[in-house]
Parts: sequence; structure tokens; C-alpha cells
Amino acid sequence: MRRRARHLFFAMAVAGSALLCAQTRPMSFYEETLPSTLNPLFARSMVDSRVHEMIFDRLYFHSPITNELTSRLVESWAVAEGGKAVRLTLKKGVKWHDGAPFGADDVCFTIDALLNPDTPSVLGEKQRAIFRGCKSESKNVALVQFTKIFHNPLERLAIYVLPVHSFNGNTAIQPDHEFAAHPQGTGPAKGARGRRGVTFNSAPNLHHKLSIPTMSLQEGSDPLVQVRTLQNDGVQGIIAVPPGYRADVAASDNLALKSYDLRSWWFVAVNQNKVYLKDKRSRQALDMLLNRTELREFTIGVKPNEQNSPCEFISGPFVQSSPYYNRSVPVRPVSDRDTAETLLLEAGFEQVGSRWHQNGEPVTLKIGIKASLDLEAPDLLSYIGNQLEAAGFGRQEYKIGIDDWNRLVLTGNAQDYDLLVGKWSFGLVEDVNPLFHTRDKQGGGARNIFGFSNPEVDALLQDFEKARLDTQAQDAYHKLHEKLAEELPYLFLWKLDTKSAWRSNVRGNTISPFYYWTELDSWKYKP
Amino acid sequence: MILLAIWLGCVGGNDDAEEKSAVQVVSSSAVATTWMVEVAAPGILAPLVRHEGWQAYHGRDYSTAMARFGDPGVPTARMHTELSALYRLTALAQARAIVLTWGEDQRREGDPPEVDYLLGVAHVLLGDADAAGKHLGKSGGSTLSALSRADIAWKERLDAGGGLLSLSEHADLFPLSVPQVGGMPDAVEAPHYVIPTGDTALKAGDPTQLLQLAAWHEAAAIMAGGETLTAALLDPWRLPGEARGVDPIELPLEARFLSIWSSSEDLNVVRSLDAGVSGLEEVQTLLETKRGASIYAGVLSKCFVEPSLDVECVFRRAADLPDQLVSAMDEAAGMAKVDHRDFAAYSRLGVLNMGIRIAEALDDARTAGLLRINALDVATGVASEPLFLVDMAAWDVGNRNPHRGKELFHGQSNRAPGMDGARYALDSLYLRVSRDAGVGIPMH
Repeated sequence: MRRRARHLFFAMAVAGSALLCAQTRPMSFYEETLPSTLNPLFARSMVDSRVHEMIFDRLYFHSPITNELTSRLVESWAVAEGGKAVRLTLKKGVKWHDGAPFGADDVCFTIDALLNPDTPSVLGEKQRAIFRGCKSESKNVALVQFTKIFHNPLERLAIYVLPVHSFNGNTAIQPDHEFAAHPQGTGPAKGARGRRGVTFNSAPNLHHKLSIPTMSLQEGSDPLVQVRTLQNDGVQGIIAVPPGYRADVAASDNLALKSYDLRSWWFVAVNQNKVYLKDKRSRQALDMLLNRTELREFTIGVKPNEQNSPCEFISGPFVQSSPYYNRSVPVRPVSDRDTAETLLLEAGFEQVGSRWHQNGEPVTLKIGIKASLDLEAPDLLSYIGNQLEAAGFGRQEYKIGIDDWNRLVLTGNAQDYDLLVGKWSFGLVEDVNPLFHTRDKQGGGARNIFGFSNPEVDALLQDFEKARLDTQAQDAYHKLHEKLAEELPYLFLWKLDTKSAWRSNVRGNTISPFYYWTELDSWKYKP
Repeated sequence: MILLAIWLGCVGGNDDAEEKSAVQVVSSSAVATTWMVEVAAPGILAPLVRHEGWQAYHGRDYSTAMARFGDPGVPTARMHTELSALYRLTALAQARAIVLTWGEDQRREGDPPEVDYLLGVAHVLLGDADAAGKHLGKSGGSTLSALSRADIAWKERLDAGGGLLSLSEHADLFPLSVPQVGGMPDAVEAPHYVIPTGDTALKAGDPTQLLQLAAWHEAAAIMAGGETLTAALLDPWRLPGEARGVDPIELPLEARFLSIWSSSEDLNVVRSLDAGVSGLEEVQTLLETKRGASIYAGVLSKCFVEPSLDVECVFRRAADLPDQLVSAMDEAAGMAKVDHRDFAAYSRLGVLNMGIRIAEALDDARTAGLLRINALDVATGVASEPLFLVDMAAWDVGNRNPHRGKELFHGQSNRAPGMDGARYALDSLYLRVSRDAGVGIPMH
């Protein structure tokens, strides 16, 4: 009798908690990592970019459905100052998440902050070539001034707006300002970062009505655990499903794979500051020692002759479908050990037994990978190490956590490493200056991992930036591609598409290219 | 124990493990008309899958499929028709890219005057002869003699009127050999023109070549399978200025096998929509009339919420339809087979394609867009239908979204010789749109 009562109690508890959870349960999803900042001025990762799209509004954005350029903040606009400015009339009644009214002062504060050289923002440094200033003409009218006349000027206004009151008007914004942890936005959700995730609560506004009360971002770990948790309804979505698990997801009736339009390519950055990697012939040899076909098969699961693979080899810093990709530079699908050995000998290496030596010392390569990528392409680090070891190099392998990656690698302070495996993603703009330009005080080379510096490369990057004609820009990048394939600051690997997975009780889930959550208001979740 | 109970209540069980109840989305009689159920009957599928032509077609290897089918008949007519449609859709993407790059409101200082010729041909493809007339005939003085001659030829053709989209034998308009059943004409490798501009050059493909290739394959299809069949299969993929037929057609199995049109009536409904059925009442009446013989009409007829389609209803019913098909196929075959699930996958893409056309007939661009984006997610594996994917690329380009359009086109551009010629126009639009955008920083 007591046993029956206990079972009855247990069943009632399950049912009761299910009912309670159905009402209060957040929509949870796995992200690649936790965001590094909630301040959009200092976005360093795709996770950051996606999270900012939930909390803030961009002045203008493209509809992910019709691609129409539109705004949730601007009522109307007009060209001013002979085309060198636009006058924006803002919607009345929009509020910041803390209830303060949104207005022209906020728009101008944001632009002033971007223009302030004491705001250490890579994005800001780039925006200085576009914006000249901003005048708040009334509470809801802002005059945004450009450095020159732009065709389609509204396209330049895809900037997140920050609240002037959160910074007391100080436009020299610092990354460690408390705003980075406790932001105020006008976006569909109010975000708060905890130690193990980020919680988003619906923030009803004049221009937003998010129907999901609470969302929870969790850091993804083992992809198998992620997929199993999704299948068991422990979470409702995974932002990036590794290729090896996509078939599993596709076979589940309650799950759907969704395309996430992102231009991503993978690379191995080479530290040319190391004495044994300074000579470009040694870098070319490493490039030839990699068997990309095997790497791709073993880590991503692509068969050697598979058609329409989600993973396509590249020979330079663009995906093959980009007009900037130089098709005359061949990809290197398989290794060429004979040529590699010749190059190593010419570069001053000696082969002692099966090991390569330089200056009498055996060469051991310290190889690192951003830890989250090792989940997406399982064991890529090991396979690269294996191939190089089989060719005669010692190897040490390291998985680098997101904090160290942001703190050391992106700032050019990971000089201990010889090789770093990474991935870059791009939206509409494929600006590779931050990757390959010499690091300078004007923001050039802001993501230059090992401090690569080459005057010809710098000149080509300048040619691209100054190009008046589209064809000049294309030519500059074609030449850059060719030069980089020769100099090899990176060993270019492949482009890999991105797929999300969501449970079928998450509906209306249109995924925006690059920004992901632009249509968040239309998402619906029934627990 | 309490904690365990709460956890179970919150997490729930594995839904996938739950037994699925039999799904009845549409009438059984409509399901019985589908090629999926037809081929499931004993003795039907084996000869089809043994044929090397169908084996090649399964991977949409048109060149090999054409060589294996070869002789006149429905399969060869179908290959020619689909190639013609692919060239049409590619030309459509190219034409849209040209207009959105160099059209009146987008012209920039430094654009070479020869783009007028490209604009002229693009407007012909888009069915706007008046706009074409404003651009053709202006490049006679170009130093590029081939372009100059083509411009004169097109101007003469336009002035003569009529038949602008038909095969031309003019020596300056990418002439092709005489159409031949089972043949694949060679294409002139692009770029067709390298137009000097400043200290650099604009590489361009001429849309005329794609138009010629489309017309050539259409002529070969007619020779192989007749005019009625060719016209009906082409109707869903025609260029904007082309007339579409509405007379119902009864398609043989070989005209539908491995296609997104499961039955003749699926195609007939789509043709009617494309030919001009519009407005909620007309569209609903059409679907009600056809839902007994078209599974897609059956699915979609239950998803109207004035003034348009309920997108979530379409998604849900489209997702359920394959289960009903698989059950019917299993029953027809007398057993479950692995390929039943693969074949049923075509139906989901088919429903969404009809849904897109309904939304467009109702002037509901947002719903049409949502259905397209969702269709893209299901156009994978065996259902990665090149016609839909290139159509999607052309739609993206028309929305000034060359980013995804270029990626989709890149994946299909080797399906047939000459398709790659459209790349240059898509590149030009991509460059313009990308350079117009604000700043972007590499992330990850």
C-alpha cells in the first residue's frame, strides 16, 4: 500500500512538475561557447555577434526573408548635406530595457563613441572611414554625417545603438565597463550573463513583442551529449551541429536541421617568427605535407569523391563562391612529400633518421586549436599532428579555451605556438585586412594572429580599401590570394557550412544570415 | 526521488521513441496517383533502377543520363526539358544580377558603356522589350567587336519583334548546331567579353548563350517527346515573359519518376497558378477542385487562413505527408523498403514549391519567402533538386541577395556546359552589394 502511494506521489510529482515546467520552462539552446562580452562595440566572436542581435537593435537591417533593407527604429529618412548625410526621424515611444526613452541622442552618442579614438574597438576603427559625425537635431531627429557620398547610404547604418545614459555621455567606452555584463538594449530580449550561461527575458517594446518569455543560452560541450540532450528535449536547439552528427539529427522526427548562412573557412596559422618557419619554403613544405582529403574524411566525414559536400577545399582566404576567390590558385587536396622534402632541405633543414632538424636540434611543433573547433571537427588537431609527425616533425598539442583564445591568440600574444588551427566567419563584407595586414595603430591587422608582415600584402590590402571600382577591388584580392598562397601565413584548409538543429515545437524560427536572431519576434516555443 | 520526478517532468522522455500513429494527411485516392506509390508496386521499380540512364539521373548527372537514354522518348525529352529549364533559370539569375548591378538607379561612375548591351539582353530575358530597346543599339562603337556585333544583331531582332526567346541562327548570337535528340551542344567558354574599365577590366558572360542553350534543348525535347509534354514540363520554370499553358496534361510515369511533381495534377495545379490564377477565392477553388487527385493541393487546401496560407500549417502538413506516402508505398509493395523513405522525401519539397506559387499568386511575398527558405532546408540528400536550387538562387539574386544566391549557384554551376557563364554577373552584383555594405570584421 505504501509502495502504491509512493508511486502515485511520484507520478503526481512528474505530472505536476511537467505542468509547471510547461508554463515556465525557458527555451534553451546550446551555443559554441559563452559570449565574451555583451557590448556590441567589442564583439570578438560569432557567439558575441549572435547574442548582441537579441539584446540590441541595429539602425538598419536586411530582412532575412525578403532581404529588404528596413529599420525598427527609424520612421523615415532623407538625404542631407548634398548626399554626405542622412537625416533620420526616429520612431517615438521606443524604450531602453530600463524604461528610459530611446532617441536621437543615443544614435549620435553611438556614432561619437565609434569615432572616439579612445574607444578601443576594432569595429570603431573601421567605422571612422565611414562616419564623420552626428548631430542630434531634436529628440527624435538625428543627422548622421558621412565622410563622403555613398551610394545606398542606409546600407552603412547596420550599427547597434547604445544608450547614452548608461555611459553618462562618456564616448570613450572601455571593454571592461559594467555595460559588457549588464547591458541595456532596445532589442527583443533583455540579457543577463551568469557564470554558466546567459538568460534572456522578453522585453516588450513598441517595436518588439517576443512571445517566448525566457530563453537560456548554455555552453555546448561534447557534441554527442548536445545531440542526445536535444533529442531528449533537455534543450530545444543547437546553433551549430557538427557535420558528423547531422544525419543523426535529420533522422529524428522531432528535430529539424536548419541552414545558417555563414561564410566560414578553416585554417592553420603559421608562426613565421619561429626561426624554423621564417623561410617561406618551410611553410610551403608544411602545406604540402598536409593531406587535406584525409583530414576532411577523418574529422568531418566527407568521402573523397562525395558530391555536393558541405566542406570544400580552399587555396586562399575566401570561400570558392566568393568573387574574391582566385580560381587560378589550385587547392592542394593531397600531400606531396617529395616536393616538401626538397623544400625543407633548401630551407636549411636536415633529416636525421626520421626526424627533421634545424641548427642541430630536432624540430618539435607546438600546435594549438580553439577548443570549440575540436568539437566541430573531432580530433582535427590530432590528425594534423599525426600527419606532421609521420613526415618527421615532433608535435605537442594543445586545446585553447575561449578566454585564452580571445586574450592571447586574437591579440597576437600567442607567440609560443608554431601552428594554430582556427576558423573565420564573414557576413556580407569579406574584409581580410584584420587578418593579414601588419598590425598598426590605425587598426590594421587587428586579428593578425602571429604578427605576419609583408609589404606587398599590405600594399594589396591598401589597394583593396582604396579601390574606386569594383573590378579594382576584385583584382586586388585576387592578387592577394595568390600572394598569400605563396607566403602562407596560413595553411588554408576548407570552407564548411553551418547547420542548426531545432526541435519541432520551436516554430517560426527563421534564421538570419550571420546575425541569426534578427527575426526573433517571430519565434514561438510550446514546451 | 522528488528531484528525479521534477527532472523527468521537465526533461520529458524521448519523443522519437514514441510509436507514431498512422498519418492521414490527404485522401488515399490522391496518394494512389503518385509516382512514389506507382513504382512501389511489384515489378515496376526494378527495370527503372536497373537502367543506367535513371541511375545517372538520380545524381542529376545530365550528361551521362542523356548518353544512356539517347533515343527519342519520354526520358530523353525529360532530360532535354530539364536542361532547358536549368539554362532558363540560370539566365534569369544572370539577367536579374545585371539589372540590379547596372540598372538606372545603380549605375556608377566608371561603369563601362558596354553594360548597356548586357542590360538590353537582360531586359529581353525579363520580358521587358521596352526597357531592352532603351539599352540595345548603343554599343555599336565599342572596341569589342564581338559585343558590338551582338548588340547590332539584338537590336535588329528586337526591332523585328516576336520570337525573342527562340533559338537564333544569327552568326553573332552564339549560334549552335542543329538540335539533335540526345545531344549536348558545346558552349563558348566564359567570360565572353573582357571590357576595359579604368586600369582594370570587367569580365562578362553574355546571357544570349544561356538563352540559346535553353532554346536548343527545348527544340530537342520537342523532337524527342512532343510539344505538349515539353511545354507542360517547362511551364513551372519559364522566363517571366513567356506564355504558359493551362490545358491539363496526363503525364506518363517516366515524366514524373524522381521528380518533385508526384502526379500529373500536381503539375497541372502549378501550371494554372503560374499562368495567372490569382486572388484567394480563385486559388482556393482551384485547390478544392484538384485535391482529390493532387496530394499537394490536398495538403495546402487545409492551410488557408485569410488572406493567405498559414505557414506553420504548411510546414506541419508537408512534414507529415511523407509518412502517409511511405505507408502507402509499403502497402503497395507488400513490405517496407529502404528507398520508400527516400522517394517520399521528394513530396515535402513538392508541397513547398506549390505553396510558394500560391503565396506568390496571393501577392504575399513574406509567406512565399518563408516557404522558400524552409524548402531550402528540405532540399537535401535525394531531394536536392537542381531546378529548385537554381530557381532559389535566381530568387535570391532578384532580392539583391547575391550572398546566398552565389553559394547556391556555385553548387549547381557544373550541371551543364555553359551555366558557369552566369557567374560573372553574379560576381558583379556581389561585389557591388558587398562594397556598399558597412564594415565587417572576421569573427569566430
